Amino acid sequence: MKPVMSRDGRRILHVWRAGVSYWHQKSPIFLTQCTPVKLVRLPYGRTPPIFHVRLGSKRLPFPDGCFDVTYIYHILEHVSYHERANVMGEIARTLRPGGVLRISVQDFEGHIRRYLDALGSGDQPLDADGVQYLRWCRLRITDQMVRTHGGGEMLDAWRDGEWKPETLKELFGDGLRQFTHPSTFTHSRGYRMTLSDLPFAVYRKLRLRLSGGDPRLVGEADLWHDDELSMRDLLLGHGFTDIRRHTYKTSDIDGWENYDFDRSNFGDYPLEPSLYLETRKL
Amino acid sequence: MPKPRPTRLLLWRVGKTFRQERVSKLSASWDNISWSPPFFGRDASGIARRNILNGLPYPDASLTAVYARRILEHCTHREAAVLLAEIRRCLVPGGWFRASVPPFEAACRRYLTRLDQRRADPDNPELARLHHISVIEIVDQAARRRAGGLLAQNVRAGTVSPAEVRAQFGNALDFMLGDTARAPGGLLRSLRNLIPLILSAGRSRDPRWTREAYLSYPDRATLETWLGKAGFVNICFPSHESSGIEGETPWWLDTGFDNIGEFEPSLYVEASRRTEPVQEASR
Repeated sequence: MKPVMSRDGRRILHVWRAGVSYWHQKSPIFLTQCTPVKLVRLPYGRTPPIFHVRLGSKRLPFPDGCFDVTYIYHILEHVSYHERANVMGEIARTLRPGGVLRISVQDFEGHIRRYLDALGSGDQPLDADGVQYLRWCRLRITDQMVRTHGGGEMLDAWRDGEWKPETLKELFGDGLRQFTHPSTFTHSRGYRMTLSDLPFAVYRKLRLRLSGGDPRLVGEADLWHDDELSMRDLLLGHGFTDIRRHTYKTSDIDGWENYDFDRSNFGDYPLEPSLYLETRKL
Repeated sequence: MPKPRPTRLLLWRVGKTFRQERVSKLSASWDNISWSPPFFGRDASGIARRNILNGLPYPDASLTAVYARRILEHCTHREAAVLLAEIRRCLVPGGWFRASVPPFEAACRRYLTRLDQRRADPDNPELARLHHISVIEIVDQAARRRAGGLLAQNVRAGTVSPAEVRAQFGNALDFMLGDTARAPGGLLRSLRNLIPLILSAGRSRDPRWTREAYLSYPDRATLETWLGKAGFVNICFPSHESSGIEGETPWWLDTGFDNIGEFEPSLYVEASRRTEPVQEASR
């Protein structure tokens, strides 16, 4: 398959999995300026312009070293510890030497620090708001690992009205905007269905229905968590060097302001608060 | 004359060491149910295996004490509400409930300590190993897709020493540290393993089906919320050596052996059922 050339003459690989807000805000850019690869667990047919790649597949359908820049948006936490070597290997293979890889993953360390801060010193009991905030901090770390139905306890807490807009914005950025601002969202599948995808779509519907919407089947479940140092181990092991931590608005990639995938379109805050790392391939 | 039924109930899940060292030594005043697959029949020591989420086989207000040992974290938050309501139904007014869950807060603190230690010297392999193990402690039992997960792999590979396993998990994983060579009669054993595999439609290796995986991480605040909603009062967090349950105390269930203080480091919670009759929800 041929990589897409961006306006500024680079080939950028953009790998993501899901995210309604992210799709709504950034798909106009990454569908036209990047090679959009969506990592999925259930099979898809041909769905241009998106390349659906199954997580179990051994190879990305691109030749060696054909990308100048790669951005992987919230993939590695949905990949089990055993699968990640293959995923990182393929990312490294398709990136040219000297090319830049930008990664955003859940900030495990940050979540845990926030949770322990929310616990307080333990001298005084928490008030109702404190307990609710603590619950969301705990859910941020654990819920996507343990949930057995789509949305998990987070969705239940939201349905029960046990949430505050500022908490959700602090913890998820725009990640749950479809719940806090439902009127601004139109439902879109994210790709144009082709006839060849029809049998796959039927199969996906059936599998999901039979499994009761198992988050592990969809890929929604978190299977591992990373912090800066464990990411460093992973990247050094796959031939990357010069690992730097960034914020949602900084980058070493030339012209990143034209892409700006991590900043919300609604203001100067992270679209989804994460750990942002950039590294160069040797 | 029929024997009087025990009025105390121990709910536990699995654990060879716990069964050998603790459950088998329970006195006759304790009943116990093992919530382990397959959820019917009795295990080798004659202990009833039952899916406790389908209800407890006791009449209303018939138990004076219930101890759910390491049960709640294997339930989703919805299931925990159902289970706690069921336990409340079986308890007499004023009866005691005790539960133990993994110490999430302590695991988080240990993780941060090890991360900070490593940050000072990122290339030190020993610190890297400890850091990795502390991530495993939080993530693995929720995220694993095979029985045992990364933890068992690391123990078998010798990456984690027996002393470290005991410091972190007490006596609970002693069975992993012992001689794991298969007993003779491998064919018979494999045939016996086939039965649950067939009965479970192939899912008997899935940690979520066998309830080996964590399906929630209750901390103190969560336990207080759950117990409060289920109609419990006097919620307190005792140590492994203390208990408000009167008479024969069950605390020795939680003490370890072989110079280990605590059988499995946990967060303990106790609460009693409200004495005044609780208003039942009208249909």
